[in-house]
Amino acid sequence: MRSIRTRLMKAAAAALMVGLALTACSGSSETDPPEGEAGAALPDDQQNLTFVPNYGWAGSDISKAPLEIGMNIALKQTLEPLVTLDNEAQPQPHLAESWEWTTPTTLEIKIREGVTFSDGTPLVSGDVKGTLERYLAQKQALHAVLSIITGIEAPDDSTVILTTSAPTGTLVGVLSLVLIGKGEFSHAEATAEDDEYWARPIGTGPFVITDYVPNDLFKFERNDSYWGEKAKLKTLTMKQITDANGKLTALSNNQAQAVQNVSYDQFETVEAIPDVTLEQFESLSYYFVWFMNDRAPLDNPDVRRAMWMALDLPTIVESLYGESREVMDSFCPAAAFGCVPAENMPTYDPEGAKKLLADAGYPDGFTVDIIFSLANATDNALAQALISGWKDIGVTVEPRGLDAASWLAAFTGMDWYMDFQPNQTPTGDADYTLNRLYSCAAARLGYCNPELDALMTQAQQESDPEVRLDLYQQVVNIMAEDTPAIPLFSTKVNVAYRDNVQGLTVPPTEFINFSTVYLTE
Amino acid sequence: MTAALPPMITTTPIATPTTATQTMQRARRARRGVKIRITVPIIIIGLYVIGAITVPVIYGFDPLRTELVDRLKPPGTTLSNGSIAFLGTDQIGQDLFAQMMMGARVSLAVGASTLIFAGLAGVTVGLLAGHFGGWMDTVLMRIADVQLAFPAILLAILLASVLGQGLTNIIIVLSIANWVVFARVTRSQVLALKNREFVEAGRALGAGHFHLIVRTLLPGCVAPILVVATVEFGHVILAEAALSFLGVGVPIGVPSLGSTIQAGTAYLTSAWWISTLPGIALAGLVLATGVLGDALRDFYDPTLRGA
Repeated sequence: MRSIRTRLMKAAAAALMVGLALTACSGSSETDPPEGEAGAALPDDQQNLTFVPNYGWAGSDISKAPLEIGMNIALKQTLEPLVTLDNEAQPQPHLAESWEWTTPTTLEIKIREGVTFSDGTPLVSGDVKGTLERYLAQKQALHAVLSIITGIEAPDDSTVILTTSAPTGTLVGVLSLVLIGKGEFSHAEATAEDDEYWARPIGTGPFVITDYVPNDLFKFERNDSYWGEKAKLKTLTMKQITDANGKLTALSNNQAQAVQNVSYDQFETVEAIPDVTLEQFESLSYYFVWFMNDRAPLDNPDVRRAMWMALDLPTIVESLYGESREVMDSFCPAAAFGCVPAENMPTYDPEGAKKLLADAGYPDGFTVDIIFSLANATDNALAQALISGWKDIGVTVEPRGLDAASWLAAFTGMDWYMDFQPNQTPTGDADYTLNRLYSCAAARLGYCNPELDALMTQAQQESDPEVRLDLYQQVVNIMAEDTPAIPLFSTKVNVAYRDNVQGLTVPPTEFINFSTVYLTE
Repeated sequence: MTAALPPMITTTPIATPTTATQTMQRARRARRGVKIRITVPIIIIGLYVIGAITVPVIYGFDPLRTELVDRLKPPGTTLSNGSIAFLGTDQIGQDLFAQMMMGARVSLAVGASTLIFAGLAGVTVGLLAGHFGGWMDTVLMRIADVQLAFPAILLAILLASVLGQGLTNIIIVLSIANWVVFARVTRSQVLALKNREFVEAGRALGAGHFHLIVRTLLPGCVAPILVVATVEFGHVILAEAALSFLGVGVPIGVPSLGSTIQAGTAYLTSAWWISTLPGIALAGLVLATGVLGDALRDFYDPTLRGA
């Protein structure tokens, strides 16, 4: 069977090559370089790469959804943050040249000189001030961690001074998620021009957006006036393909040169495609189930715990995802600082779950719904596996698979009992995920525990790593007790790419930097 | 005059005994052909119906239950619980045969309900338009024309996206998309019938509109409506599968042939059976209804017999 498949693949590839030669779209596959040896870089006019990301984008205004992974992957090619995080999650200068806490609550940031937007206007402190004000005013996902900023000043063109309501060691890391746009189009009270600019921003990054089609594609062209090392690709296209088969077809016939997150079931198929490499990387992504904690019957911690105990997560993960995903022992991925194993995590015990439900007054179960985005291709099977587990303890869960935009609307509108989705800890620190999502102020899932809030605030302000770890141990223990959510598994990311793609690596945040990627013959 | 008679006699085929026998034989053969073309599809559809009703019960099939250790097993595999999945299992470990029969149940139920609703609406409209004529005919038939001018499947996708997923919604959507054919056929049949003697007689005896429509026109329309219904049945099943395939049909947890085929497309290279076998089952069912509809038309209208 394998040989038939290989032959079919080869036939398809051959047919496509003929097609490509006829239309002269791209001549890259005419001669394959000898194995194990990278050919010379293609001439500049052939440096065109199409990438299929794993995540969809519900829009193009990053300030309205600063944490959407798909939007970050796209817009980070054009807009840049003040700082970037290195592999140890330590902030490194980017648009900010340096920063200093002049008092425990005053952060002074020096803006890099000589940086210009792709239209030629120089980057000044007013741009940073305006952007931060817009982010704060949008009251979106980052609001909980940014709201400690009480004052933003720009005394001169190269200095920004932030004042915070309390000492906050993690603020600089959070700034790596704020992408700086133009100040003239960024105000607390957004105007129509502001929204228009942010929907298709002009930034300081290595690429310029040339086209954007909602739910379909982003097209970029190299920013030839980029302040850093210029991109090697002439054009970059990010094309959304949600169908798992379509992704692989695009890769095997060279429509796309790289696709992100091939599903585990397709590993074997990908490995059978000639001239394609599949590589896995560690990531800060994970999946969780959220409960609407203030909505009966899920307002009872015992009921939530029972829902957790109904799931045989090791079997689900092993069967559906093999080695590409791992069961979690904390509420954020183990790769992030402070995500220590909780000591009292519920485990699979359907009988115990039934007993908990009966004691809570639901001997015959109940009916709730679960929402999820259909943009994440392989989630249907997961939804069914979860629902099957809950059914075994007598709880009926109605699946509501929604397209990306409807899901986001339902999710932020809190129109659900349960939700499952991928999530990230892009700062690589537990504070980011736990404090942002589970504090009373976050008000994301109807969960509020003042004791937990106190511990998280303490951990946020503490600078001694040992003490912080100890505090987070208490935090995750309380959370395992309260069960506001079920962490399902952490994911590895993978990229399958054609062998002539060089320099493509996926950082744990999954925000791929395409400026170093290039194509060879 | 007299010279013209002999040729007239010779050209009339019934006059000679040999040609009369041939015609009889041909007619008998044609009738037998029609009977086979009616019986065989009915048996096939009957098997689907019996399978759809009994198989999920025998297998204890629960669409919400997953058996992850048994996922993606090829046809003929012995599963962890000792049973043999002779058509294999799908991506969440459900027995494909039971799932297909459950899907056939959904398809048949959607097909039947849609025919009832679309048929009732369409036939009523057709009877009214044909019987009363005038402005009522103009208004109703222009509405029908407007809808006919728009591709039915596009209309169905549009409506399904607005109404959302769900079995009831699919039935509503497909009923809206399919009433026109019934209305059109009924109206043309009524137009052909309404000047016939028995209708005239009823009218002369003082029968009211209701009596005329229900007792004289409707019985005369039954045959063509039955034919249309059979053909439409296949179309509706296909349309439901198409909607489910596109993700605007049945929700997760309600297997339909279309949604099973769709789920299997992600595994075409590694587990071909998930898409292929329900596809063959769907084709068989639709083909049977198509042949049946064609044969019924021949049965009711012998002049169209192909013999």
